[in-house]
Amino acid sequence: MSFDKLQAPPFRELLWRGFFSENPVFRLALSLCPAVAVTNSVKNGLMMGLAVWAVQVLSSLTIAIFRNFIHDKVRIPIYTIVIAVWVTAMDMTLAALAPKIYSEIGLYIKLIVAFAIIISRLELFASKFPLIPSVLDGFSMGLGFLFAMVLIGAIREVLGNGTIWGVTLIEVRPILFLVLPAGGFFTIGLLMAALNWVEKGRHV
Amino acid sequence: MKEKSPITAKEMWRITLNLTLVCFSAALILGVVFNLTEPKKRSQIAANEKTLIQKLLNLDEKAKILEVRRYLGPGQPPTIGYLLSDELRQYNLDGKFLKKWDLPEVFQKAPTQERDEWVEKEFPESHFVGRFFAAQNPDGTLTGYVTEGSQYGFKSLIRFFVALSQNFQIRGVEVISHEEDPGLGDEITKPAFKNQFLGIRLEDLQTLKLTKGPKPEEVAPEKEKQIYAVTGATISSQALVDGVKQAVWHLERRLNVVR
Repeated sequence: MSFDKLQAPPFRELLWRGFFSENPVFRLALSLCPAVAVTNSVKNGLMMGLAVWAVQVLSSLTIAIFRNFIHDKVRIPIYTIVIAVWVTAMDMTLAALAPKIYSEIGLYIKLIVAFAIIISRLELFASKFPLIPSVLDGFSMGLGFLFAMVLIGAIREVLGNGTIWGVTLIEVRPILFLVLPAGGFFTIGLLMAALNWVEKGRHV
Repeated sequence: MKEKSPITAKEMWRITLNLTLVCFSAALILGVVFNLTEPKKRSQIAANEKTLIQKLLNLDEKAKILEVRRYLGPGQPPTIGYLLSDELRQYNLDGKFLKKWDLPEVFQKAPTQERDEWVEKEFPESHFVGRFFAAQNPDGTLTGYVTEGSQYGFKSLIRFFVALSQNFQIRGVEVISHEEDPGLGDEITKPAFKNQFLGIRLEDLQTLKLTKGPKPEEVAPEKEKQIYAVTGATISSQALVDGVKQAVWHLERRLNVVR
């Protein structure tokens, strides 16, 4: 396959990319629905982020190993099956080993199958590059997603509910609107604007 | 328009093989994971139920919880089987005793699944339909009952436990699973709603009504035999009230049969 001749970007750039310059939520604007639905508190955001991170790394790993075997015409169904297998396996394992956590995030874990960010990383990266860069890409993209989820969760929880990680910080609820789904979009929009501004500043 | 290159037969075979192998290995992996995790999950559910029953009936560690499982047998009219801790008894619909089997000792402490398999063998074509629990003191006196019930709510089945004291006074209602809307129907799981059932007696159930409207600041428990519905969730509230009534009545009848 001609793809194998592509040169993988250097590792440092790979790591930085997922975290900042191509952050799944703030830059690629992928998987915004779950990002909005789940991030009304830091804890939910963190749990969801961790689950996505794990699925992203494991799926990238699987696709990178078997990339030469997968037929080009059926690659998308195969990506979906791989993601679904990892998600279901994780769903069952968590339910058996960590029922407390599972009772809180079990509902969201099944949603990961349809996450645009994971399938897009498999299509754009893991199916074209060797094992190590693919895993690194999955690692950084997953971490970037985790970071975004925690940041949005923290802002919404503090400003919307006056608490952080369930601990009361301010007695009043400064902007109650932020814990509602619409508030999630506002938070993401403002954060995107802030990151654009920071990046512009870096280049000027 | 550019014409697409047709897929050759050889390529078609490769695609088929590709997809088949992927699905086969996916099924294999999931099967292995399921078999590894399922027993743990089951025992966890059982342990959770035990703690819930202990909490509802306010039991201490020494109290024993007896499970009575009910099976519907074949025939017209059907027969009912009750699996107690050491025997399986068969009754007809009017509660007349027909037959009994002793549960072998090896199965008495076995997981539920194995006991169900034993019942299936002894009592052919029967299937599990429900269960209730009785709490027993170390000296053998019964201290209370917990029965499992279910009722269709606004969206789907609401499953719940009702705990009763020895004299059939409700000691707690706990929703086990439901799919009601968050913020509306799911308020029935909150203490503000479910605690209204506390202290209701068997004889009150006949006249127990669901009331719409604001809940007064103080409800005199002797006078008011009503449950105040959750605003915006009358159907879910009604379902739980109906379900609790049914579950308690059924339990009373079944206890009279088994005793």
